[in-house]
Amino acid sequence: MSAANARRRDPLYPIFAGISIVVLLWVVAPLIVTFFSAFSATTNASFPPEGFSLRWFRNVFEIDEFKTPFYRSIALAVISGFCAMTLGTLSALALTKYRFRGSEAIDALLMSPLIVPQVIIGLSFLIFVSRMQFTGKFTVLVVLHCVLTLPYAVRVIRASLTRVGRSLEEAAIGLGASPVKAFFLVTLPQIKAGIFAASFFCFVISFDNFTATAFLSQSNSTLPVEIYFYIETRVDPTISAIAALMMLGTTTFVLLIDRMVGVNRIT
Amino acid sequence: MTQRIRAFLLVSPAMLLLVVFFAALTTVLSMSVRNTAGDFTFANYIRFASDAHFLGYLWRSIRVACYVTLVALIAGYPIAYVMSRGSRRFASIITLALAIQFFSIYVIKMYGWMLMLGNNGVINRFLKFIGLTDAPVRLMYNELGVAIGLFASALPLMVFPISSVLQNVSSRYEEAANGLGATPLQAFFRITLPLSAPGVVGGAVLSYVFCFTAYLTPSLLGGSIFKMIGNLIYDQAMVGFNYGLAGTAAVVTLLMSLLVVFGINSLGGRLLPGGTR
Repeated sequence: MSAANARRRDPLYPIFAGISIVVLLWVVAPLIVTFFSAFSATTNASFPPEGFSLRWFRNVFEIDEFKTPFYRSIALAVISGFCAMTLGTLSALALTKYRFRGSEAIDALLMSPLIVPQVIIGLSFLIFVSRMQFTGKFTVLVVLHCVLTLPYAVRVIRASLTRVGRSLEEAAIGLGASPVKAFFLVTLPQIKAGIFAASFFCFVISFDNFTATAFLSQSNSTLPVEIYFYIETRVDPTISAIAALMMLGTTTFVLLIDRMVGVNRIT
Repeated sequence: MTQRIRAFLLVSPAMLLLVVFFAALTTVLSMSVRNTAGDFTFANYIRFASDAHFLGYLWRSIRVACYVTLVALIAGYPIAYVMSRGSRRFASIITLALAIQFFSIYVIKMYGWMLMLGNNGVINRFLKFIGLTDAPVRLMYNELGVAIGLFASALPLMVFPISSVLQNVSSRYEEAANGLGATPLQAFFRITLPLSAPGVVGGAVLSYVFCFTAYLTPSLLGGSIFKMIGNLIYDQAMVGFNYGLAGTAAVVTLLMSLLVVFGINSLGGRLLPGGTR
């Protein structure tokens, strides 16, 4: 109750609340506009929409231009997410279970892909694979996305490992379970929510990535890259329809994460 | 000792991946100091530093990144404050709205801004509708459009670090300041703001580096009129196939980003008493 009283006495609070609402409406407005423009009956992606139709949604599923990149993006996000989660879980375990010299350096190394700007990561992979004569391979994209998602996987899993502590696992080992068995039967069930959250997170980071991926996907374009080349030359409601579908996905993702671990834990 | 071996075994797969990453980064550096024949030379750097055209990319990027970060701080701080001090219901609505905006696909967000800012876009239609303008105002394919697009993407990067710090700063400090006779404004500027300095520093770094190295936003909202250093890197590599010059621009970009990271960190530590890392 004292927090509510403090708010009432705080003259800054109403001003800040007002600013927040205006600023948030401003940055969310383009998303709302995009969503509704998908229902336009004309070829204009405009807001307010002219008429009502669902034909642009049908268009999304009928034209092949986006179908292959869409499946490629899904496959890429699933495969690279799985790899990053595996590598990330092992690293997070090492960092939480053991105290050892050099652990801080290893932590910094694991987080380093976050510090290097994405254009530079993209360029470096481009130059690297062209020198290795390995251009145009899907594997390259998988490795790139593993690098991009690994820090997030490590961070989220590490946080949930720290939160559950080690006492139950130690008890299981004390009662005769092998360390591996103790991990799978005791620790893993406790960090289930964290694992789910981290997997979703990796999926979204990979699926969304444009900047680094654009350097490597001429023959293997992902959905964001394909959309980019499309809207560079024209704007029509087909993109709005794709966008509307993806926004439903994003919203579901955020609400789900919020239910499971609380959205402020991962941002 | 066995603990250490076990730990290294567990992190080794991830380290292997990062070896590839660092090997790739090194090739950029080595490309930038070689000519097409493969001999060691600083020619690319000399060319970059002596050409006003190239330096223009750098200057535009620094300028936009600076003021967008400043605006994001002024607009974002209140949001972070409300997220940590507001009623539970209001704070969670604000948080969810920002999170949905943050996690929306980047290309889609920029497409949304194209619908907003175009000559026949929402804002121009609105201005015409209320009779403020006859001809469309140019809001896109210029610096303004790029700044608006960057602001929207940089805002969550600014807000989330500040709000996570503010959540751990008890409002009791403000109450104590109030109780000791400080006005609410004094309490805010002398207690709350300094205590949240680590969040401000973190948010400013993320926002600045994001804007400085942006590629997608300037290429969609700046068109051919307003290109930034990210566009230079991309165009040199993908259109000109000049990996040497692209690498040079990339190394310069990375160094300047790191410089600013340390700069903001030490500035934050100097100006604000709570701002040490």
